[in-house]
Amino acid sequence: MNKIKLLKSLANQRLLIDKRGEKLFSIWWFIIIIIVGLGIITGVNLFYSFNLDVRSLESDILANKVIKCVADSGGINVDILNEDFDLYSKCEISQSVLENNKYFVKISVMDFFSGNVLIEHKYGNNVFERDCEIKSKLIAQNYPECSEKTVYVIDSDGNKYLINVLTASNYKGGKI
Amino acid sequence: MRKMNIKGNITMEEVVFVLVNLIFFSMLFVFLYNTSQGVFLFEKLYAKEIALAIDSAKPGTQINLDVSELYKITQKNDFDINNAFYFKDNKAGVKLSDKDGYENYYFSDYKIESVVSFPDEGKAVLNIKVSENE
Repeated sequence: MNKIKLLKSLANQRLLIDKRGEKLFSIWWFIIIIIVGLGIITGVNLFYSFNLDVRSLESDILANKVIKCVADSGGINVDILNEDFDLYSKCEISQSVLENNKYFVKISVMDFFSGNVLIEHKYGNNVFERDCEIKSKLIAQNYPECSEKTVYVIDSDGNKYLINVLTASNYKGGKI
Repeated sequence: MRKMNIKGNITMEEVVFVLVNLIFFSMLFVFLYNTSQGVFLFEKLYAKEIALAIDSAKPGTQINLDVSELYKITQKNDFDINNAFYFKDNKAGVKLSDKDGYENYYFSDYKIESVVSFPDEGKAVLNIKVSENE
């Protein structure tokens, strides 16, 4: 008789354990559902924002624009050799946009044979120069996208130069 | 209660569990649909496209951009497409509803004029004229 009682109580205990195991709502369920939800939201946002990241295109267009301005088919724009070269008025680039800390332009004029830098002009956020150097060595998502172009030009006296233009953009747009 | 479980009847806890799951996944689907079809995505896409087109253009260029997709959205939102685009302080802005829009800088210091034309029914084209600043 005692054995039967013991078996019954054991069976009840098992039932209790089973019942606890079948519990649908638990803290773990909530944690899993939050992780799944956040994962999907983050993934979708990353997917759509990645397609709309045009910083590299922007820095490329900026570099092309500067190159066309300082070196056209007729040779070097001699103004670039002056210390007080004004990129904004000469190249039709907005000063307010370039100086809002989201862009950077560096123009270096070098002697073709020696490679010595004759003159250098920097505009915008100077920190990006170092960031571009770092970005060329490793993948860094929040660093600016950079573009570097070098052209060979001559002046009216036949002097040969290399013009190197480094541009960077870290502008991601914004809500009105 | 236990007897009912053994017989295979559905408990209140199970019903609530299924409902909560349904609500959760419905919310996820609504989020996915809104993100892929949403106004914000189109505003962002076109603002960036317009800004890049302006920066790539030379003074004297006329840019014609098919905005029929946006025209449908503005009609759905009961918003005038003529007020959907603006160019101010070197920013190209796109706004497809009464709510907030999206804007993107263009670094070229040009004078920008724009007008929306309707070549066919249901079609809309944004004409942007890029000229030198006076």
